[in-house]
Amino acid sequence: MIRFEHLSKKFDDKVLFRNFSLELPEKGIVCFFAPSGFGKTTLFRMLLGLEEPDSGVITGTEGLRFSAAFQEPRLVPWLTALENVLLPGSGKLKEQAIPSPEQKRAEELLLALGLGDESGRFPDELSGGEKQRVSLARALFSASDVLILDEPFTGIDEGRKQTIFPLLKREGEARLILMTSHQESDAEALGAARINFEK
Amino acid sequence: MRQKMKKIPGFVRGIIALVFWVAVWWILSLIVGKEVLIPTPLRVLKRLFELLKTAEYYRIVGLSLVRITAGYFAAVLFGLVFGVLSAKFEAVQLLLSPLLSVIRATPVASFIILALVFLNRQLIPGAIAFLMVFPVMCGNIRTGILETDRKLLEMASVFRMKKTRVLRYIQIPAVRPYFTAAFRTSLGLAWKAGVAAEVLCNPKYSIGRMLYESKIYLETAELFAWTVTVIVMSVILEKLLMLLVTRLEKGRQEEKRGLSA
Repeated sequence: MIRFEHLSKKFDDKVLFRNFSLELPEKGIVCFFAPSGFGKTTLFRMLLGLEEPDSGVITGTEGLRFSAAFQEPRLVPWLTALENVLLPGSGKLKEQAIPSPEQKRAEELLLALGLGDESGRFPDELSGGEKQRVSLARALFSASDVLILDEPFTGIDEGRKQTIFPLLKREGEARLILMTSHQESDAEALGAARINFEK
Repeated sequence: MRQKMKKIPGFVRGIIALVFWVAVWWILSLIVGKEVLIPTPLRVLKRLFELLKTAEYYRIVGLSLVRITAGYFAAVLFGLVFGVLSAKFEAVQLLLSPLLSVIRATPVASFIILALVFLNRQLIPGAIAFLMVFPVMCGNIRTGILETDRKLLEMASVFRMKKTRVLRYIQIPAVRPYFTAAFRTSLGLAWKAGVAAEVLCNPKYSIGRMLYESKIYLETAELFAWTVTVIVMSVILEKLLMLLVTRLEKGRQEEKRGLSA
């Protein structure tokens, strides 16, 4: 079980967290709400070990595998959508005539996210929303215990979201999904636990 | 007029420009009227064909080529290694950067004269080519590594991607354009500096020696013929390298684009 214990973090003079504590469940979806600039992304970065807290500790992360869809898609420009999804795996990236189980799974994810026809395209041939979905597919593809989704629905329209929600719900039964969103309705539709930060 | 010119294919336009400048050369040589100063293009071409018929010509061009390209490829290899080391270890960069600055700022002629004191004259052209190429390659590789998108590397670390996988799919492709740019631009540099070194150190069977000797004996037509050889070789080398580089890159691109078709 992941615990944030008495975390404090500031950038320059701006205090993001002071004595912040939180306990997270092992599975399910948890959605964070806060005004922008509150430090949700920083909290995620600390959890991923990309940032150190000024004081306090994060416990219960030993041996956990993380995957993430960042605020910006972070796709490798010279790899196709399918290859980007396959990247965190261990198999070959090149599309195989007889698909490996890994490739099959990656293709299924792209299909589920409405990118069935886009799997051979490069990031510069995709729209912002499509890139975001490839990034989401990559995070879902990676075998992880904790999935971090930072504003995953930016640039994704309502209709598309409705097809993504069931997929996330199913994933949330097997692992912990931590996400941020600006819309309460997203959390509601996902049946997510909500955590509201107050300044 | 501009539109009309655009309709003419590129290579025809190139030939027109070439014919124009050869004509200028011809007229100039007729005005000067002394073969010793400016031989006519026809005279040079004749001398070149005479040279082309001798076995010695090929021996000379071949040996110059071997000497200089050996230095060039050694510099590519060492530049790669030290470029990587200087990007990874600040201490290497600290020690290397003044050395590279000195190499860049020193006139080639100084190096050649200096090399005459220490090295066998057969080795000097290669060593000079090495000095020309090494800083360019080293600098470009370092820049390529440092310019690799941090966000992609961070993504790879979050996903705990294996080092070999990060290298193969993120770092090497990110550095490749910097490598090919240095690979391509420094060849001409190496070739010209190498020939200059040959002129000054006079190794047996070398284009540089032939240039030097034709000047001594006032064989201006031969001097021009050897110069044409240097230029043509430079173009051929450049084209060969371009072919190699684009083949490597295109192969990859087409292979990828084929997937999206």
